[in-house]
Formats: sequence, C-alpha cells, structure tokens
Amino acid sequence: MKKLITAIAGISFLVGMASADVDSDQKAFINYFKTAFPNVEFADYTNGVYSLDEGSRSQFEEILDGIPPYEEAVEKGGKEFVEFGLNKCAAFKDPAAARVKHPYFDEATQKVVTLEAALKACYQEQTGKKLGSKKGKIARISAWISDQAAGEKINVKVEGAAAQAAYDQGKAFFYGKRGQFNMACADCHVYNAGKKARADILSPALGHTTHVPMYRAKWAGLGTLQRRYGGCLKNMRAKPISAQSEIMNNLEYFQQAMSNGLEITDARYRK
Amino acid sequence: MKKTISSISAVATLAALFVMPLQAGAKEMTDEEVTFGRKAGNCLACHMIPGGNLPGNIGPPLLAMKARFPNKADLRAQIWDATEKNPNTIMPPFGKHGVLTEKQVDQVTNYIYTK
Ligand code: HEC
Ligand code: HEC
Repeated sequence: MKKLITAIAGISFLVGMASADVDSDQKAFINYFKTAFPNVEFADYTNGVYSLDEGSRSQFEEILDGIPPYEEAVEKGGKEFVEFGLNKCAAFKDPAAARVKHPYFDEATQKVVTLEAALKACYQEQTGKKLGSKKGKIARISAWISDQAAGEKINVKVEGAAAQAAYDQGKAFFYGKRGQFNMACADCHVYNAGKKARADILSPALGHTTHVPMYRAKWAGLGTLQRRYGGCLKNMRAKPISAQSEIMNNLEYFQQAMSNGLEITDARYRK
Repeated sequence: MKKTISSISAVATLAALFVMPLQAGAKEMTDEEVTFGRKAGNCLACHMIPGGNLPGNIGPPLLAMKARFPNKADLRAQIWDATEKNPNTIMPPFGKHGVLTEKQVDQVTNYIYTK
C-alpha cells in the first residue's frame, strides 16, 4: 500500500499539465522507470517490452539473430526510395540525417513535421500521387530511412512558444483519459508498464519511438508508429483519429521527445 | 490549443455515450460468459479470477469477495464505476460508460460474489 501511495504521488507530478520544459519532463519520466525497474539499463529501453520481460527476450533475440521477417521489406523500401525519386527532395538528401531531424516543429507552418509527413509531401512532389500513412510503401521506405540512422540517438528539440504548445498538447493527450474505457496512454505504458493485460506485457513508453516503423507478428508486416496509435485507441474504445492528423503528430512529438538520448535501432520486431 | 483539447475530450465522451452497450444477442449469456467474455466484461484482462484462463495482473486477484465486500452493493458500485473510489483508476467504468448493461453488471456482480 505504501508503495502504491508513493507511486501515485510520483505520478501526479508527472501528470501535471502545466507547461514544463522537455528536459525536466524527461528527467521525471526516466526517474519513474528507474524506480519501477532498477535493473533495466537506460539504453535497453530501445527494446520495448523485451527490456522488461526476460521470458520473451530470448525469442526476440533468436528472431534478430536469424533473418528478421521484415528484412526483405526494408530492402524493398530502399529501392523504392530511389525508384520514386525521394532522394531528390531536399529533406531526404541525407536519409540518416532526415531520421534524426524528424519530428521537428516547423515555424513556417506552425506544425509538427513527422518523418512520414515529409515522406508524403516528397512522394507527392515527385510522383504526383498520394502515399498512405500507416503501412505498405510508406512503412517500408520510412524503415529503410531509419535503418540508415541506426546507432544514432533520438534528439527532438522543442524550442519556442509554439513548439512548446504543440508538445504540451501531445503530452496532455498522452496523460488524458478518453474513450468508453476511460483510459489514458499513460495508464498502460507508464503506470502499468511491465504488468500483464491478459497475456500481453505492457511496454514502457520510454523507448516507444526507437524502432519505428515496427514489425508486428500480429500484422505480419511493418507499420508506422501512428498505425500503432490507431490500434491502441481502438483497444481503449476511443474515437478513431486519422494518422498524420495534427493531434497525432503532436502526440508523436511528445513521445519522441520522451525517448531523447536513446539509440535509433533497426531491431523492429514486436509480437 | 486548449479549446481543441477540451473539444476532443467532449467528442470522446459523446462517442462513449452513443456506443450501445453490448446487448446479449439471440442467446442470453451466462454470468460467467459476461464476466470472462473478451467482448463483454473481459475482467480477466486485468484480474486473476478462479476458473479463468490467462489472466492479466493489472488489478488485484478477485478472491474472497464476500469478505472484501460485506455489502454486495459496494461490489456492484465498484464495477459500475471504479472511478468513484479512485478517480485515476485504469479500470473502466463498466456501467457508467455503458460497456455493460445494468443487467450485465448484476450478472458480473453475482458471479464475482461467489469467488
Ligand atoms: C489497455 C492498455 C493500453 C492502452 C490504454 C494503450 N496501449 Fe499502447 N499497447 C498496449 C499493448 C498491450 C501493446 C502491445 C505490447 C507492447 O508493446 O506494449 C501496446 C503497444 C504500443 C506501442 C508499441 C510499442 C513497441 O515497442 O512497439 C506504442 C507506441 C503504444 N502502444 C502507444 C500507445 C499510445 C500512444 C496510447 C494512447 C493513445 C496507448 N498506447 C494506449 C496496450 C495499451
Ligand atoms: C484495465 C484493467 C481492469 C479491468 C479490465 C478490470 N479491472 Fe477491476 N480493478 C483494476 C485495478 C487496477 C483495481 C485496483 C483498484 C483501482 O485502481 O481502482 C481494480 C479493482 C477491482 C475491484 C476491487 C478489489 C478490491 O479488493 O478492492 C473489484 C471488485 C474489481 N476490480 C472487479 C472487476 C470486474 C468484475 C471487472 C470486469 C467486469 C474488472 N474489475 C475489470 C483494473 C481493472
């Protein structure tokens, strides 16, 4: 009981909606997980649920040691990147740098630009056609771009009042209750990380963005981070929200910033 | 920005109000089926309950309920709206948000009360 009370006291200061700078938010975030899981190294949070669960970790490592089920798709994404002329857009001249730069707050449009948003814009510019937001081509190409940055660290910047407002909105969304089940993202991925919902172990939100687009066995394919957001919203019986809408981009901005300092990884496998 | 947030949560609340509670189809579900069914109470998602398989462990095991809740109405109230006791709870307000019908809340209460 005492443990529970301290945990709740810890939470209420995390939830504090008042605008706080990213560094102090992230410090609190990291400390929360350090207290909850003292044996997990910070760098290991790139491995999601496998950082907490010894049981499924060996299976994860076996899959990575072999030929991961997404390898071919990522290679294809690399070919598509060239085939559709995406290397000609200024944003993607240097793919590794592009992964590290996004998401960023664009002062000109006053909006967060995710890697996928930049890809969609570039694809349209080059081909005159629209690119989806969740799976297939966009996920393959985005995964290939991210592979080029493997080993580099997430480093999202929130500078200026408008960027801060976008970040704050994403943060409020993450901690806010919603849907018929009245749940918050944080309910599962902060306060109950490591616990089991039926047979699913809940991943820590720290590191949620290091391996995106992720491969999921359940999807039998790759999906963008925001594809996953859609799945979780559905599980909370919340109103569906389109991928790449402003609020989802702000949520991603917040989530990416909370993973600052963690390595971008090409180990994309999740159950 | 703040306005967007409040309108989003207003929409979510409205959406929740209009989602029809899961009605038992042609065949009535048993008390156990309402409690365990993934599309009904799905209490096993979070609670160990004797007789149920593959439970989660987000909430405490549901055992000795008569001793925990001498007054059965208190147990029903916990299931109908867990936020009364703990505003931050992850447990869904099954009755209040229409996840279950009033009758189904009674069924779950009856079933859990025997554990
Ligand atoms: C009822 C519990 C629950 C809620 C609420 C929930 N999720 Fe999830 N989420 C899961 C489960 C279960 C998984 C799959 C196992 C895992 O990786 O956590 C998952 C997976 C994820 C992943 C993939 C993690 C990875 O390593 O690949 C992300 C990202 C995520 N959720 C974000 C969110 C966001 C953002 C919200 C709120 C909009 C949210 N979740 C709400 C249960 C939940
Ligand atoms: C998403 C997780 C979740 C689900 C689903 C859930 N619960 Fe809970 N439940 C909890 C948590 C966590 C607690 C601990 C108290 C709190 O946080 O409110 C709890 C507490 C309880 C308690 C009080 C236990 C005690 O000893 O005080 C009862 C009774 C209960 N739940 C019954 C149910 C029933 C019946 C269902 C299904 C209709 C259900 N719960 C579904 C998470 C859940």
